[in-house]
Amino acid sequence: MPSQRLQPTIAPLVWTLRAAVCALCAALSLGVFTVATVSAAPQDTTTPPATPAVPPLTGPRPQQDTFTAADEAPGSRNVTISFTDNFIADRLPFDVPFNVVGTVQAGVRRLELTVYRVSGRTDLAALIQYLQTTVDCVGQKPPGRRVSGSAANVGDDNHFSLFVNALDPQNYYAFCFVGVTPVPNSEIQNDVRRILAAMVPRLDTEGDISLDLLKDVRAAMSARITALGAGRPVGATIPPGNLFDTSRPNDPRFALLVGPLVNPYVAMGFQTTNYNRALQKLLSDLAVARTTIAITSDLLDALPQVDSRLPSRESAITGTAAFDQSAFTFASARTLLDAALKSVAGRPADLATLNLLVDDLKAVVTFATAYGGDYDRLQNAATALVGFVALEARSVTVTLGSSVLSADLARNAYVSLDAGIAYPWRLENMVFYAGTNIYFRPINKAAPLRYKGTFLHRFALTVGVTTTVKDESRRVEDLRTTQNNQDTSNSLLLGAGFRVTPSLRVGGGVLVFKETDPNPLLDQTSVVVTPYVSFTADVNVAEIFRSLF
Amino acid sequence: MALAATSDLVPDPTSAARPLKSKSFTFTVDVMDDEATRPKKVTLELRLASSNDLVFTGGSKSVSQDETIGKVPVTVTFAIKISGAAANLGFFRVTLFDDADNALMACLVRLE
Repeated sequence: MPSQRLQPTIAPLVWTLRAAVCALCAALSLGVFTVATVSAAPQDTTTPPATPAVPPLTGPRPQQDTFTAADEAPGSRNVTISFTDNFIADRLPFDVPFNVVGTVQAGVRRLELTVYRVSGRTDLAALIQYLQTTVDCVGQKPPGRRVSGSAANVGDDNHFSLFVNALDPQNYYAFCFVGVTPVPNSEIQNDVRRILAAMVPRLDTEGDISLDLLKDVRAAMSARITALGAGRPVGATIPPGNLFDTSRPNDPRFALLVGPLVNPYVAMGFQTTNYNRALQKLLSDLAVARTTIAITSDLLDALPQVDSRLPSRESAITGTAAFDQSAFTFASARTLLDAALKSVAGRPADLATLNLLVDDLKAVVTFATAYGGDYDRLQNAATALVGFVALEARSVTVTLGSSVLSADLARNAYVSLDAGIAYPWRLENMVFYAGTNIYFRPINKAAPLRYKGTFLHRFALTVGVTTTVKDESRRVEDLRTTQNNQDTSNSLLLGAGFRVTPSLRVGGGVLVFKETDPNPLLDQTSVVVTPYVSFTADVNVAEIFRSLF
Repeated sequence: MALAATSDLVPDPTSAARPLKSKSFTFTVDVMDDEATRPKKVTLELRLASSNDLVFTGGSKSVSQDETIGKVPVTVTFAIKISGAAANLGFFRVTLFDDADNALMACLVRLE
């Protein structure tokens, strides 16, 4: 009747469980099961690092070797970090992916995270120091293994959430963040105007403007825009599709924007020549006129002077002030010349001389007016281009540099309790047993074995005690007997197990018990073993202890 | 004589698709002679850059027309047709010359 033998009372099992827990307590206190698998990192966050060269670990806290919600509750795996405090506020989970969440300063549009792993603290110091010198968290050859990388846009509320791959315990990690922000409009506008002023003269050739020249000018502008904000660790990043993205040889939008710039610029060159020639002629004719006519000082002052130069073409691009037309109308000079003409009426020679000055002045004003019109057109075209560039610049980003946070994932090896059924070979009945499982690495039971199911994630040594072993045919006695066998006696179970699911395991090993001598005349027992197979359910010891205390 | 353009040389249209196949354009400009004592007949010439394959009707690189120019600016209009592949050109240049071969004004026409 094997089925009857599989129905023990609850009391013996509870007693056995208590005995196993006590045995485990004793074992742990003796250090028998304290598997030194964690690194030498102190578990107390208040303890300073051993060597001054080592940067202090900024997290995680607290360092108790207990599981956190992030470890155990799928869906709540958020680890909060603070750039202000340079701190990782929560304990990092292991063997499960999680999100790093927090807030960044306003203006940061995108945040990139790279996680590196090192196995020793000294290495971590070197890694952190290295990463702090980089602006992209990569540099040339980081002294650590990159184990996770992610990027996310920052929301309007400056919150971010970045995914992190499952991390292995018993390692140190460096979390390197790179903030990306748009080039500020105020910064780019003046620069773009200067760039335009430097580039447009290249378009003012004697001949055509080739596509190659457009390409060169655009590339030069791209290079200058990329280098915007000199003093930044790295230049701006121009995204694909942007007007100044150099991966495309030509962008028709560029020619469309350049067209309104080029023609006023070219025309202003001609008008400058015309104006200077007309001014020179006026000054020359004035000099001649003064030899025959008395020119009043008021008129001399009102007429254009040698230094009455037009503003440069470049100023129409770099400046924002409109052309000052009033400075080139010379209205008072014309009024004074009209008065002078009336005063010399009846003197044909003087009249002709003054009329010549009137015509010269008209020509100066005409060319200045034409120049002014082109000046304003050029300025408008430049403003349109700068405005377009400013729009495009919203997607031109610059890197703010890196922020490095470090964290350790020093966890103790996992010790669990399990209870189940063992079937010993060559004995009549099965036994219940309770035992401890000693893993050789920390175990997060929330981590799916499907993804984190290596041998060490599954394998554990088992030490347990059984309920009473009975087999009359073999004269079985328990290892630990009670007086007159009034209470439950126990035998020992030694073996190993393998998790098939996060909590269920199969195992095998030997059952250690006593056997009396087959000779009825001899009252002698001997310790014998027999193999067993078991099927058990893992129980989290920490949870048991938490419930006990 | 001092001929001078008092306005931009304005093309219409301001852009064209390449290649150009007898593409009609008008170019308008105001011209004056600030030293002329009276209006005089002058020959104005519109030229295409020699470095490209664009030509006016008839295969010429230039077209000319007579105008009477004095101290008062006169609006001059050239109605012409231009042909050519214009490969690798972003803009082609048209320049206005007087009969003394002085460049008076120029403009650039965008090619699409």
